[in-house]
Amino acid sequence: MSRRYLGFKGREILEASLLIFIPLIAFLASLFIGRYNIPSYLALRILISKILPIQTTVPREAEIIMIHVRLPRALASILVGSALALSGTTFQGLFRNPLVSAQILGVASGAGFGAALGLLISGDPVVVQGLSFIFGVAAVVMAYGISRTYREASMLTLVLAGIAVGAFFSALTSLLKYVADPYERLPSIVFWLMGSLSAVSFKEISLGFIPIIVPCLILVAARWRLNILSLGEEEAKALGINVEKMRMLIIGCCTLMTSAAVSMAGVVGWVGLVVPHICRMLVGPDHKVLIPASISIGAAYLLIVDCIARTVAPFEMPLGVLTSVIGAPFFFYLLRGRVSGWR
Amino acid sequence: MEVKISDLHFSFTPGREVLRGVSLEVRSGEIFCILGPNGCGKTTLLKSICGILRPERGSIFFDGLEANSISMIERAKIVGYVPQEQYRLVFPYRVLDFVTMGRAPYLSIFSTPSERDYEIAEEALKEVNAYHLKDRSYTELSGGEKQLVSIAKALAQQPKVLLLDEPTSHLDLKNQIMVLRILSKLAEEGLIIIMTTHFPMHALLHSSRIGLMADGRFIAVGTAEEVMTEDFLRKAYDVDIRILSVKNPTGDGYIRICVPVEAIHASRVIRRFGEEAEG
Repeated sequence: MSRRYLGFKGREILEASLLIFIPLIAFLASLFIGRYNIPSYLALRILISKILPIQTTVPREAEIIMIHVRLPRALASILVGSALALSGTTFQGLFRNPLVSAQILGVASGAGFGAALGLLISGDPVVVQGLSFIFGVAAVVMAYGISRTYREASMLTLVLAGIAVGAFFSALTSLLKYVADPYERLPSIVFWLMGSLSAVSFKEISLGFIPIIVPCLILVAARWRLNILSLGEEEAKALGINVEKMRMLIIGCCTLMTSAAVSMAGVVGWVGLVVPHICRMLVGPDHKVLIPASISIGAAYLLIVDCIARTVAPFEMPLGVLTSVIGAPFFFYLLRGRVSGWR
Repeated sequence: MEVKISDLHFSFTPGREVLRGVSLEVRSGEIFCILGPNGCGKTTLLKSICGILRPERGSIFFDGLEANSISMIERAKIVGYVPQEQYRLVFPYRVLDFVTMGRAPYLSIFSTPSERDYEIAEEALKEVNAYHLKDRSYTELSGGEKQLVSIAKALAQQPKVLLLDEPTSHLDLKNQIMVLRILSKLAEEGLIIIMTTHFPMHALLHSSRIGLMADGRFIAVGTAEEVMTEDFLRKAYDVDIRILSVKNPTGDGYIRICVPVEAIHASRVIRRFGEEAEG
């Protein structure tokens, strides 16, 4: 094997190990950091006692906070962060536009409406999550269906249909807010729409796990095809790709992931927009590397932001607000720096 | 290898045919040059051959194999297509990664390119003398370099037929000559090359055969001598054109060039030649 390939492999190994270690460190940090102070040696001992069968005596309170409060939040951060970042990267490649995110087809508006409906009629977390998921998927199905009624189902008609469907569901959400009881239901709807992981337990995670992991694995396996699709429709066809089928597969996967993520954490903005750009700066535009990087950095990004949301203020900051507050200026910085990985 | 097209019809909107019965035969080692005015159906013909567009009537055969009887993936292993516009890439792919995308027909949906695929892409880059560009970013390349890299991407498909839509349109003189030289070499190696062009000179210089297209069909097909006549060109372009024989300045014989009559009448040109002759 020539030196060239050794160099190639060397870089790949370095990148791969970084992409494993960054989220791992963020994961551990988010278990160790919080309002309730658990000394790190104690936290480590709790963690080890859960994995290996060792008997240790640790304060019951510390154990409950770590295992039943921080751990589900951290796991949810990983799922939601990687799902949003992955679908953002995928959509940017598919739509050949670095400014779209997975919300472009109306997922967030649909899921938001579903959650508001659930909060209004029942309030049971499972109902809220379920309705939110269903309406998130329904919004994209509607957008896709509308775009297909035109003779030429171009990507532009799909985006326009997505915007229209999104606006429709936003209006319905406003209507629900208007009729909701302003002392009990309305605050919970508003709070949900801001996005938060504070109420997440293992139950919510188990509900969202499958619709995130399965599409995620499919997209990782098919990631190189995104390069071809990003060349444009005719070029992909000339290379023998069934563009229509690939698009349906990709949009389906992204929709399931995003709906599941939104139904778990509420509307967490800007992750799907900012993380793909960070990743392109780190590993370049080739989707073969970019897709795994997005999963890893997306998880790390939300772990870190959620850590900040829990600790920085004397009260809990809404996660969706914070991702936007951090994400938007960072995005401007990227635009200014012209190291953005697209032009 | 042989490409045979018979009686091809295509229309974007019903009732307005863009291709109105195109027939054609091209063999290995030939450069077939398609000339014709804008909108006469040159690009549509190329897109129909590679399968981007589906003709309504007529058939295309690759070595007797009907094009519709094979999958798009199989067809992409036979036909490589270099589009007219340079790729407007949104993402600045590395040149080698970009050329490797030509391996797509050989890779299943859930696989990524192997080392062998990268090697084939590198060989394709060497074939067009662009190996030194392999680590550059595609979006930073000049027009000529982009054209070479696009040809390399089509070659990475390991096709038997290479379709090029106006491969020299955006290029300066030096790059035009370079691209044409590479295409001649590829044809000598046994590839079928079908290209469109707006430069009658290129057709005269480099092609084995020329097809002159007008209004959705060939009005003349044959060697340069047969097709590039004042009558046929006038019929195709609806402009008065003269074929001039000029004494070969570098050796024996004459070379033929075509010039629109209006350019001859533009006195500025004549005077400049006159001045040069005196001085």
